[in-house]
Amino acid sequence: MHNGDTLPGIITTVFGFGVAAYTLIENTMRFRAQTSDGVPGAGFFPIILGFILGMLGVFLTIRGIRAKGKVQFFKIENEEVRKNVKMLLLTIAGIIAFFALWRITHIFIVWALALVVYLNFIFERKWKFNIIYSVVFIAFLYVTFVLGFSIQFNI
Amino acid sequence: MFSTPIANFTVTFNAPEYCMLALFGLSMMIAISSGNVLKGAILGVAGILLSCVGLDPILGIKRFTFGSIDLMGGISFIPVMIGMFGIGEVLFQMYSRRRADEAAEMEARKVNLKLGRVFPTGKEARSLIGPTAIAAVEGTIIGAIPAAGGDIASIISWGNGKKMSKHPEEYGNGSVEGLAITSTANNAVIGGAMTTMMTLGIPGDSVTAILIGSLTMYGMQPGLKMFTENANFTAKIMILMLLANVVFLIFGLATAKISAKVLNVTQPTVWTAVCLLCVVGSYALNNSFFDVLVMFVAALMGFLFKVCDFPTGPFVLGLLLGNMLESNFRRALVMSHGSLLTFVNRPVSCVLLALIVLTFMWPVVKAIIQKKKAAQGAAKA
Repeated sequence: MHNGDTLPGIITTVFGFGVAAYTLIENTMRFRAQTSDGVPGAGFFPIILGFILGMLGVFLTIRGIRAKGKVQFFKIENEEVRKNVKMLLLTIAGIIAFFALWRITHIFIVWALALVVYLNFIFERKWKFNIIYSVVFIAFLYVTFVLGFSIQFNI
Repeated sequence: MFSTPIANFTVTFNAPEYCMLALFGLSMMIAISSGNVLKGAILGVAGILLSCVGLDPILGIKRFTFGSIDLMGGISFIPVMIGMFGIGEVLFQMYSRRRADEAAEMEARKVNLKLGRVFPTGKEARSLIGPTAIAAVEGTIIGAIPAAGGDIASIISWGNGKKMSKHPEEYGNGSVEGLAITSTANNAVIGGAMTTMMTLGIPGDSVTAILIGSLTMYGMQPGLKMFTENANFTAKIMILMLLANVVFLIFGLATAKISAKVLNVTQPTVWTAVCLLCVVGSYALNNSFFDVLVMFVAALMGFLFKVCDFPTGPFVLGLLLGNMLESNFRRALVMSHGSLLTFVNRPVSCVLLALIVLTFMWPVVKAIIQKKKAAQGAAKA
């Protein structure tokens, strides 16, 4: 059931019909404008596109069910893929933590340096390379973007 | 050469034509989503739907803003593009990493990247003039077709070059002619794509899609106005494009040996740099943290799309063309008092509509023809 196109199809169907339904019940977005006859309102496009998306999602779901699991996405088939997924999740978590720290403290450069060190660490780079690369790269960012292009990043 | 006549022709364009033009660009992108037309269509529609976020282009009503001031301005396609093609690609490469293949490739690179002579001999250069001239024309024409980028131009030109070559057996085995033809077609695409972008406002490829965003940021609207109100700027772009090719040739030849060494850089080194540059790039657009968040969400979506085998091109194009499509569609209906016949009654709009239908029908017709041929072949056997 969850293999292949079935799950993406279900998500697309729910999202498409969900958008259409939300637009229909939202008072401000009407299918027809109240200005003159035949003029489409603000909800015209979202409703039509929502229905089209929902229908395409149904087709994709049917295609996924018909394939009977021949195609599989997100298959953790061996230790290497497991390791890759772990690295992927750690990277995403690291970036989210960086965003949170940047947002809370309004400090960019220091947290960016920490992110580069962290990413190099989870990519299993040697410490010597890690430190040199991180410092050089962050210095490059600072010189190019802060000093060169005057982008306002706090240290 | 072709830009001014095309731009003059667009004077006759009105809302129905621009609407059909946007739809045509999108349909081309979906149609070339090889083997994934359904998924391409889903992402194309999803992209247009995302472009509906913000203020309604005709009535100014808030849509899907959920009380957020940042969302009122809509979702800019540049952070989405940076996320999908930057961090999204990095995440996908991380997920699909095969260490044994990577190590073998690194070993192979050490041997392959020991470059010998870079400059072609006089005899080689003379023999390449004809094939590269043909490839340049092919590349320019293909580039002018919305959504048909450098890859398609290179493949088509390579195929044609092989058919016309005196040494077709060398193609695919390190042929200098094959390399010259594909490189020429790949570069020639930019000229054609720029023509479509500057005159019609439809991006020929992802590069021109970014250019449209940049022009819009500076208050310029691709189309006829580029040749009237911003004529000087347009002329500068054209001259710079010519100069860039010359500089590219000189710089490319001079630094070929050093540039080849860059390919020795390992994937994790590139991943770290790309992640940080995507953050900085998306923030630098408007000094806005919201753009960074949009970029990151797009990156996660781009990763999931790639894993589930969805082509990301139609999504970005849908987001880019969505506003043009909606505003002109609704404007056309306002002009015609709600009659959809306005899209058929106007000649240019009608031709574009026919092309859109053909674009979507072609894969079906092709499958039927192939089935018939296979059945005939089986009957003969």
